[in-house]
Amino acid sequence: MSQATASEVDAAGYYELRCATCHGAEGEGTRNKSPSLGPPLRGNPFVINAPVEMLTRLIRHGRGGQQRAYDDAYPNMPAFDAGLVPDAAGLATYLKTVLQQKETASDNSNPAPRPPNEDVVAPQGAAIRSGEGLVAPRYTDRAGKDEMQATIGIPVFR
Amino acid sequence: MLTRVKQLFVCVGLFFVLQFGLSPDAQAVPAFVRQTGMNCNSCHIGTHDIVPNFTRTGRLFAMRGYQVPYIRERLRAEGDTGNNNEQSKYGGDYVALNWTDFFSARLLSEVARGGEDASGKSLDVKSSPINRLSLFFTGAITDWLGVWTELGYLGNNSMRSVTPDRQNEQTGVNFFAYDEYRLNASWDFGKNSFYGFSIGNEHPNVGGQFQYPLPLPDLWSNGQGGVGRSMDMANLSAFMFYNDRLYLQVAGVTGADNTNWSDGNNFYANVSYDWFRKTSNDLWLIGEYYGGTDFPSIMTRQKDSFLCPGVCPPGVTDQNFSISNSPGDVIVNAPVERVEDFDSFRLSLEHSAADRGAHTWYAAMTFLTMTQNFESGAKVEDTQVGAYLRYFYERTYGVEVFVRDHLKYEYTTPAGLKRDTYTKPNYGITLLWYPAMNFDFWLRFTPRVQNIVFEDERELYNDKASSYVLGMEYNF
Repeated sequence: MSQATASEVDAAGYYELRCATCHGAEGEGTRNKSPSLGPPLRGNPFVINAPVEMLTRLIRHGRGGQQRAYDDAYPNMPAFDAGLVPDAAGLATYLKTVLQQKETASDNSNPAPRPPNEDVVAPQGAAIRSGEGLVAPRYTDRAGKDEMQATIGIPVFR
Repeated sequence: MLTRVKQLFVCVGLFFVLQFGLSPDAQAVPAFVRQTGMNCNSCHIGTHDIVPNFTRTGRLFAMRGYQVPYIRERLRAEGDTGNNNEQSKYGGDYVALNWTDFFSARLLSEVARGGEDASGKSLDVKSSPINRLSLFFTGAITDWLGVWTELGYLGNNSMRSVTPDRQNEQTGVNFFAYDEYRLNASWDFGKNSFYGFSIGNEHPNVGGQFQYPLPLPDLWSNGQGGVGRSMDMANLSAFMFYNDRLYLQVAGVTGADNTNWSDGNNFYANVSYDWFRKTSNDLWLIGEYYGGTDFPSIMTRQKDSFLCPGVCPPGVTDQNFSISNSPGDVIVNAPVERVEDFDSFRLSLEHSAADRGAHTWYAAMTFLTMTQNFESGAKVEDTQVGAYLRYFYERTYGVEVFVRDHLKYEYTTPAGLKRDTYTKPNYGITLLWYPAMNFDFWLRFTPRVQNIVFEDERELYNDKASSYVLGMEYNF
């Protein structure tokens, strides 16, 4: 068994503190609860494929309004500043690594449900910035139109 | 007349000057963020005034007992913070917030208001530095228990003096305070389902916030706590939400005249169905029943129990109070009656669409009917319909409109004589501008302020009064 690093411990703690309410204790999402608050992160192709920097910005700025491009059974995702999540990059790394491994570690026979529309999980403009071949959501008016606009997590609502 | 037009232009001009003078990108930390970690727009479609105008998330937040969403720290009994899985030693989690986070405040201030009185005379343009200030806490206490509570202060009401011979003057005190709470416990059962129980000192349907928006027909009122200007009540409620669609609730209520269970009480039931269940498309059909034996007459102004709890001073009558606990529309010259029993039904259709592209709205239609049988043998029947819309573009520029009318409002005397009433629809329009999520200006026009008269006293009817208000609201 590998020894967990200090940053992983912190990230796990902050995941439990800030993320688990909406995304489930093991990243399974809360689609089956009322209110449904967030999509699954474990097994989520956007979380797996997006660069850490992109996830970091999403954590910092939240995701709402017209950027709430995923299944809109969920509310806007709030922003988490440094006071709420000091190490957003560490948390993003945790989401991409440790959390994804929980799928195998905890329950092989019951993987986390995938988002209902996988090409809608990337925020608007994601393809432009990521260079990872992510698909911009189909239902956002501004998707990919404004390269000068920071593309992740700048809510268009107030 | 010219002065009044100038004043109106000044108000509208100020509105636009402020609009372009302030940065539209201004962001402010809303009070609710400090308590739950979420933001206002997750639960509300506009935070103007006291109307919740919930998104689906907000509605379920209230139904579920204010427990989730909640992404702030909770203090464990051991003293550490965090949502860890360790079992606490003493009674579970505390709400672990800073002292300042516990209390949020709402400031509403009317910059200017004016219009015409019932005789058509121009009113002075007035300002009200503080119209309403309230402190509240909303959130989870434990994993299964949540609370909503508010301590409110209303200032600069048009409350009249109770001093004999000075009843047409403002009191100068203009003070009114209230407290209200809802304590709600709930648990999951199965997929997208939960059940629970609640207690509170308001009308029980605030659990799902099915009573708002306020401009819609409402003969029940929400109470506002033990010393409220509306009604005193307490309720015990049981509810269930099944399969993310069906909401059922039953409640016992102490009554609206007082808080005694022994001298009559009321019963409330709610059956609601949610169709589309999306943040951007949420449609509720709501059926409610409220009936019992403890309720004030809807057609007569009632004495305010806070200001004048016993016998009023000589020369002061109930009519002197512009604030009363009358839940309905007062009929001019209506006789004072005591309710023996009453029945009421309300059918509503409410739709919310949050961040549907640049568009966000909350729309509702309501049909409400109430029959009251009086101890004298008389009775009154009131049937109302109303429609309401609050729309925002980019969550910044908004408009709110309502229309409401009585389909039937008829009093039957003890001798069996039917006295119909004469009235016209009420309507209003409010322009809203949100430079920040928790900060807004509003400009409201109410073109018609009318009285309701018996058909056989038609000469007493008056609908000349109108009003406008330019105001500001800040939630912090």
